[in-house]
Amino acid sequence: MKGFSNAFAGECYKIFRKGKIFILLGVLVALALLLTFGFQILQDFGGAFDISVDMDTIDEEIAALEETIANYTPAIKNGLIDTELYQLQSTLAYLKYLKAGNLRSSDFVLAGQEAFDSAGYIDAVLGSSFGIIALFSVIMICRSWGGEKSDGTLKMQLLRPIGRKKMYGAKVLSVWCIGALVFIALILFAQIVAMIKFGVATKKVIYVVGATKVGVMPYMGYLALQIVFKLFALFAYIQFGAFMCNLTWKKGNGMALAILACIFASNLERLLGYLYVGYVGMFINLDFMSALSLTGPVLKGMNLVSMIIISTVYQVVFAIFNLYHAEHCDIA
Amino acid sequence: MAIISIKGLTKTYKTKNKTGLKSDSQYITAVDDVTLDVEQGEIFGLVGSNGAGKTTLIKLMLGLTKADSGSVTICGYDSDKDSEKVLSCVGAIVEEPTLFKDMTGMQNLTMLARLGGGLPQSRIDQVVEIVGLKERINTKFSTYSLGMRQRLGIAQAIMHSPQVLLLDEPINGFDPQGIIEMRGLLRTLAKEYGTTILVSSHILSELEELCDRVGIMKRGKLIAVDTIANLQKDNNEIILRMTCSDVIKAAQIIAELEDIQVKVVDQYLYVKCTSEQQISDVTAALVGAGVAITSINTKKKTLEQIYMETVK
Repeated sequence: MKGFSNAFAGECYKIFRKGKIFILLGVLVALALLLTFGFQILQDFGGAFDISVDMDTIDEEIAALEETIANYTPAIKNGLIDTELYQLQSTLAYLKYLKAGNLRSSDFVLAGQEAFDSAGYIDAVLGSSFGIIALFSVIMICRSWGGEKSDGTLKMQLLRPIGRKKMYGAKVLSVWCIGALVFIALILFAQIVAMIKFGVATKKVIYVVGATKVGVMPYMGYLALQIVFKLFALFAYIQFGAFMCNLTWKKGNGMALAILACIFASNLERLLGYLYVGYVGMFINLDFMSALSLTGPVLKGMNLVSMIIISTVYQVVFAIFNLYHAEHCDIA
Repeated sequence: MAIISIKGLTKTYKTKNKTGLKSDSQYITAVDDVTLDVEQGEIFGLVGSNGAGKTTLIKLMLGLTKADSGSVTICGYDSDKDSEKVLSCVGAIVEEPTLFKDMTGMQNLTMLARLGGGLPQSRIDQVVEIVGLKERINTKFSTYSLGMRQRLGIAQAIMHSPQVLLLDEPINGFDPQGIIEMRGLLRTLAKEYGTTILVSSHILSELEELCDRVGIMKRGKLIAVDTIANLQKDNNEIILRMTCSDVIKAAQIIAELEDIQVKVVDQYLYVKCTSEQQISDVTAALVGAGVAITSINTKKKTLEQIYMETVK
């Protein structure tokens, strides 16, 4: 365990001393500040989405939705990416929930719904910064694992009495921990900015699971859930980066393929949804929060449980492959 | 009991030819059924041309490369099953030491020391002084010459006082003074601390002066292992260089002796003998014929000559 902690500390030291992590943090802070101006402009121009539900006409809205659902004909035959029905059902469940509890929609935030308020701002920071942190982390693991292998520095480290699995684990964990640290630091920063600019987010969040089950949770709980899901996804991206480096054994190729996959694979998997392949795609299954929104997951029939199971299976497979490769590969 | 024991070690690499097709793959046996024992405190030299398999053998011993068959035991531990225990008693340099370019020598050593479980700063300072890098240890590794990189490589290899040192071309890039210092250091480690050293080098004269035994590798096979004295004996060829009162007459007399070759170069008489008895025969024949021998030197084969003849 001491060997692992020493390796972990060494990896963190290597990342921090290069200073690029601070440049990343600076870029993300600048992005967060820029977003405040954008939100301010949209607020000033009254650009907020109208998501309020008129309680006087809620019965009529419910009846109209029920009729639409009863007569629903999909626009695309057997279209797996046609999630329109899911959205209609979710909205119906949401309206029924409001009616049953005699709740005002304006007292809540709807999960996944864009809004130009404190919660919406934090959502926007969270969403935009995560992509950058994920890409940065993929580059870091490719440099740390594939790069050190190809430039010979990994060999020197493996001459120390530390197992290869521990070395690999220390590299993955250090990149993930630093990515997570930057992400959480940015969310805290965004919280402070949001409080100053848009006030404290006090509204509870309504979420819809599986187009039928509606629930409410405190905003902080919702935020914490988002962070947990994003950190899981970050770990998945890092393991994927290492996997690609192991497949190609060349830092440049592995990094390029991993970055391309991180950017485009989700859309590719969505397209492949027509062939059912998309259902087992890793990237499409990492968007857990979509399973709590009105619009639902990207493909018809996906749900939070299946997404968590599929992405966890990916993680286990990547971990087994990467650890096996780390243990048995020849170090040039 | 041998501190390094290698049994039937074989490693084959698969290479693709220019077409890159699987069907065109070729197998190259980098290490072929190598068996070797090295005793504690011994300095063992590994000799061979480029691609003979020296570096691969050292990588296999360190577990950096996985063997197809055979086993390596170092300090009583199997290098495949107990690699961490093996590495805790081994210090090594494999090829040119490559460390982090943006770190100083000291930062690199400190980081590597931590990976090995940590060492007191005083020990790191001590090895820096031993390898003669004190003045440049706080400058970046990227500014180091090849010789300085090798010195830092040796520092990281010896800093945890290992029982076994595996050094692949350790004196590459060293200046003559550095070579002498390093030879002294390795001898001290072997004699005073009982460190076992396996060293490969292209500089055969260096191995000749340093090693107790040498092994000659050719195309992955260890084709000869012995002390240099025994290898010289095995070749049993002794060259006599003589000066005498009448070189021409002496050459004629020796040429009449059985199985002895003679050559005259610049007033020197070169006589090739294959036994000590033949030396006696030569001197007796010359004295008997009234030729006065004014000087006589024997010259044994160098490791380089033995190597060239062995791998032929």
